[in-house]
Amino acid sequence: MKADLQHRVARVQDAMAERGYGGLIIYYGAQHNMLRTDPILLLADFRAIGPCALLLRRTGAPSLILSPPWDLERAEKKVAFEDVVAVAEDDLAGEIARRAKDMPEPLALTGREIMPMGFARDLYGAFEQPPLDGDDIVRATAATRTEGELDRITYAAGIADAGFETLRRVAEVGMREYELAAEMNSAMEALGSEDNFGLMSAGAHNVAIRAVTDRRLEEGDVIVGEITPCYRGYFAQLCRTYILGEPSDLQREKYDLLLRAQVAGLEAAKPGNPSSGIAAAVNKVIGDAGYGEYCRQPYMRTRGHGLGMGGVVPYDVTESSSPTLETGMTMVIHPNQYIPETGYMMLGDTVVIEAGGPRSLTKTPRRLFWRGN
Amino acid sequence: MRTLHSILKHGGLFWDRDLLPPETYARRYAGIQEILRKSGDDAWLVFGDVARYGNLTYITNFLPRVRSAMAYVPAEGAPVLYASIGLRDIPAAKTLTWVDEIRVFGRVPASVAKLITDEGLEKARVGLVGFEESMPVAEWDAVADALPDVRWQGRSGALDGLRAVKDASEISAMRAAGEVARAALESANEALEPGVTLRQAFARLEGAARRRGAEDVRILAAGGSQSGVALRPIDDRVLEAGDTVMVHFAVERQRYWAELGRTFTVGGGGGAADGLNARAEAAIAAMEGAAKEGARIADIAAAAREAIGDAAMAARAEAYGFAHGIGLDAEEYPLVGRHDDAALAAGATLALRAVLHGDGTGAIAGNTVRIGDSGIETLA
Repeated sequence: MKADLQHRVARVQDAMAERGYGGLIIYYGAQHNMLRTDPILLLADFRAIGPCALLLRRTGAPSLILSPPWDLERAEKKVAFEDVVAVAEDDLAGEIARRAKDMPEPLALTGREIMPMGFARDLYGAFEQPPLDGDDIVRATAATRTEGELDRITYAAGIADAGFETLRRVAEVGMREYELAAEMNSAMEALGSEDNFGLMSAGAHNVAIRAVTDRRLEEGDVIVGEITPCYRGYFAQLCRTYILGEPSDLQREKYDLLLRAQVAGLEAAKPGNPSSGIAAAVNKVIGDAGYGEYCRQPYMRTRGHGLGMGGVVPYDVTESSSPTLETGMTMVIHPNQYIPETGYMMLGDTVVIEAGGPRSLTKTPRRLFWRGN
Repeated sequence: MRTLHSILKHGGLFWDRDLLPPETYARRYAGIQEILRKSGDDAWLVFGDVARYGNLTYITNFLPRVRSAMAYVPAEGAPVLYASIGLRDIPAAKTLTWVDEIRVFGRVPASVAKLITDEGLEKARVGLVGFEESMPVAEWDAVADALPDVRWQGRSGALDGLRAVKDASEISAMRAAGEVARAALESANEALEPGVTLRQAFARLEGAARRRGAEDVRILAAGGSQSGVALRPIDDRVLEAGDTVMVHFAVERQRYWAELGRTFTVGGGGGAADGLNARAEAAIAAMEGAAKEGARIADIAAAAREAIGDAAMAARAEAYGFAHGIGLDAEEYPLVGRHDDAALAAGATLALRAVLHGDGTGAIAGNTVRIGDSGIETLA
């Protein structure tokens, strides 16, 4: 991972040179989010507890300023470069500004899209000349995964498989939804999961995926799960549908539609293709079956998304998404679908884009699951 | 206390109306509108994100599990809730709030601009609650550019006084959260056994809390030699017999937080940290003694420093925070260092914490308490 990190820092420094920046302040609020790239994890392999900033010159190693102060020792052990300091959260803006004064001009800053107003006022107020907007300079370098990253995502995909196995093993009539989610979460944590973007719904006719509630599972419930564990900062996702009973012929028939849509989506996921092609391929299969109107809002949003350390290129996969797929990108492709006759059903795998097409990191078979099967 | 932010609250999310009846919110809303009108503002926008949502939840009972949400509070009339969700998610959102009107928070600047325009507030005085702490500056700049004639008023602390004093239903909710935390930690001695990793042990304890309906669980710990250095997120350290394990365990249930701090010895029995643990517990006892109606939060911190004695050890402990408000936010008003002179009222709830490191080991003690008319009540 150390070589990976050096390479990533060098890529950002190259981008700084292209844009003419002398120094770059990379702010991160430590509010980890599935839709955003974590720049500190990307460049320092460190998952921050509090707001922090990485300071980067065109050459040389970065400096990390983090909060809270008691987290310094963890950072020093984890981060590969030497200059790591910790301050109280209230002192962070001042410390960034103080150190930035020693950096070459012009200065740029990334993170305005997540920086709270009050913090921004303190930070910008400490500069005579406000830093330039560095916009997506870091995020744009995070499109593809290295072998080291892929190892983590593959491991996370295995944890997700184990999470779904737990669901199949323990789900029973009378259990509350949150009890089932707790069992799955515990099983995944014991295997190394640090976090989980976990959603699960159960009912005779689900409208969408949602947070778990105190509802008790009933015979015949359709349980849909979006299981997204995190291993050493990297996420993988598994979407599946489990019926607490025997599926009806109609449920089998409609789930076959999702399976065919996923095959179409996977076939479109080749390097050089636009990510929008995945959504178009999925939507065509579902639309041809007569459910075109259910491929749009409010029923559906995306057909997948980039996945790694939070949100990464190609971001949300829709028919209007623009990124071109590249070898080494990791993403989830999920033709999850609301169908009026059966309700919402889910199917999705984590894949890595390779020269010949996508390779699934998910091991759970692609099929409808039900009790005893 | 700051903990590693989770990417999504994935515990049980529902509204226990017996515990927190809708009338509670009607009462709160009337009190908030009264403060609003006294301020001279025409309306308030109350913003919250997934990390800090107490003000928003106090009004709506809604909790943003990801991204952000906002409540529009007019001087007269019903509130409107904006949530960063899809249209298909509105039915689920409605189960969490008494607010009738929920709108999708698409692009925040456009949503705010449309609201202000639709309500005829383009030249009005509008108070902003929670914006300083949570509203991203890039989005705010776009809002301000779109609405140049609105007279924005910073009202960040406007609800602090109301929120600091908990009513009976809130205390019940915090007691329930505390009970979940306490019950989960009851199996700690069993879970913290030689040969298992901290992650495996805490998977059991967190699971025990989530099975009891916790919507979020936050844990910091230190095992073995880590206890001489600092608390940290759970890692894969393998436990050995005799290891000291420090545990900060915070549980959110029905939007309300309670936290505990406890020190364990792997394999049970006494450990190297017994002396430090006694000192940490003495600091908690001193803080509980100082936590009286009319006292200042700074007085409580001073009591902790005095009980700890060693100035360097006390200074390290203070970095974790000795005392602060707790309720809808895990860390809320009053805070040592920011609100030192604020007088504590009966009904206020506090997290008290003493985290000590020394001689290669460490200890933590911590309780959640309510200040009563005649002493404190331990909630967790």
